[in-house]
Amino acid sequence: MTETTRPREEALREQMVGLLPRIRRFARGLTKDPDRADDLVQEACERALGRLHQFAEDSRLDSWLYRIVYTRWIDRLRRSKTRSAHLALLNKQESEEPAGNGTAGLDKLLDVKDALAALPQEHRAAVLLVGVEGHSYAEAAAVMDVPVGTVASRVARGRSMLAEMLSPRSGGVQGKGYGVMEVKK
Amino acid sequence: MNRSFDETTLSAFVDGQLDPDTMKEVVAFLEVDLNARQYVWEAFKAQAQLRAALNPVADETIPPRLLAALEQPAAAARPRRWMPAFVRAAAAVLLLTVGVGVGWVVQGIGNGKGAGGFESLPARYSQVVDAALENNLSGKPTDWKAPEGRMTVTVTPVRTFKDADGLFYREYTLAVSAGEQRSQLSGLAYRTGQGRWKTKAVFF
Repeated sequence: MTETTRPREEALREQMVGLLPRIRRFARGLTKDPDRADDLVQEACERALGRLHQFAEDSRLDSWLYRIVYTRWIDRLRRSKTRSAHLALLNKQESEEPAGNGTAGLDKLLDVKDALAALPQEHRAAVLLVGVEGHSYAEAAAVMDVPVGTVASRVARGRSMLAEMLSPRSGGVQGKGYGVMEVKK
Repeated sequence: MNRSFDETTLSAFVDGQLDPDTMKEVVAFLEVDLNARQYVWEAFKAQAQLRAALNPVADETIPPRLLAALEQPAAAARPRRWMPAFVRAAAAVLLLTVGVGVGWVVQGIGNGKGAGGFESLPARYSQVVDAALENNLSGKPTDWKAPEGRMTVTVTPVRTFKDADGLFYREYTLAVSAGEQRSQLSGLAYRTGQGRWKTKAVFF
C-alpha cells in the first residue's frame, strides 16, 4: 500500500465497518446459523480487503460486499455438496448447510427462518436482497450476476413458496390457484 | 382490452419495481380480482415476517472478530491458511492414523530426531482425541504438546450428531502447530463405545 492509496483504503475500510450490520443480516438470512453467518462475513471482509485495489471508484461498496458474500456462500455450498457425498450416513438435517428444495417441511415449519432455509438457494438470495436488503431488481441482478428478469422471477417464486410455507392452512398464494389472470379494461 | 398480470408482475408490484402506468393498471386490477388481492396480501405478509425476523440482526453488537478483520492491513488481512507441505502431510497422517488404527508414523516434525522420540505417542494421542470427543462441549479445545518436541496438537469438537441407528458422531477440528507453522484439518468421528471414538472421514 503506497502513501497515496492509504487514505482511500482507510476510507473504504471505515465504510465497510458501517456496512457490517446490513451485511451480517444478509449473511444470517443466507445461512441460519449465526456463527456460520459471521464466518461468512469475516471471510468476505478479508477477501474484500485483499482486493481493494480491484474496487472501482464509481462502484457501490455495499453492492460489491454483498456480491462477495453471495459468491463465497455459493462457493461454500458447492464445497458442502462435495462433503455431503462423504456424509451420506448422517441425517439430512445435519448437513453443512440446508439446501432447500422449496417443499421441505411444508406441514410443520415453525417460523420464517425455517421457511427461508427451505427455499432453493438462488431464490433465497433473491428474496433477501430485494425483500430485506431493499435492493432494486437491477441491483440484485448485479450482486447475483444474472439478468434482471431472472431476479424478478426468483423473487416472485421464492416469496410464493415462502408464503405457502408460512400459511399452509390457507394454502398460501399457490393454494389459490393463482397463475395468469385476465381483466377487462 | 384484456390485460394479464402474472405472478412476476404482481410480485414486482409488491417490490415497487413497476413503471407508474403498469402500477396503476395493477391497482385497478386488484380492486376487481380477489385472487390477485390474496396473492399480494400474502406476499406483503411474508415479506413483513421476513423483515421482522432478520432486522434485529442489524441492531446486534458487531462481533469483535469482524471489526478486527477490518482493522488489519490489507496485505495481512488473510493469514496463510496452509503451511509447508510437510506440516499438512503430518496433520493428514495424524488423522488417518486415528482412522485406520495404525501406529504413529509421523517422523521428523517434532524434535527432528525421527520416530524414536515419539514411541509413546500413539496411545497418548488417541487418548487426547478420545478425551476431547468424549468430554468436551462443542467449541472447547483440548491441547496436547509433545513432551520432547515443538509440536502441539489441538483437538476441538465442533458439532454432535446422531444417525438413524443411534450412533453418536462428532465433527472436530485438529490443529497441528510446529513452531510458527500451523495447519488445521476437520474430522468426523463416531463413538465406538467405552469412551472410544473412530474417525470416519477427514476434510482438508
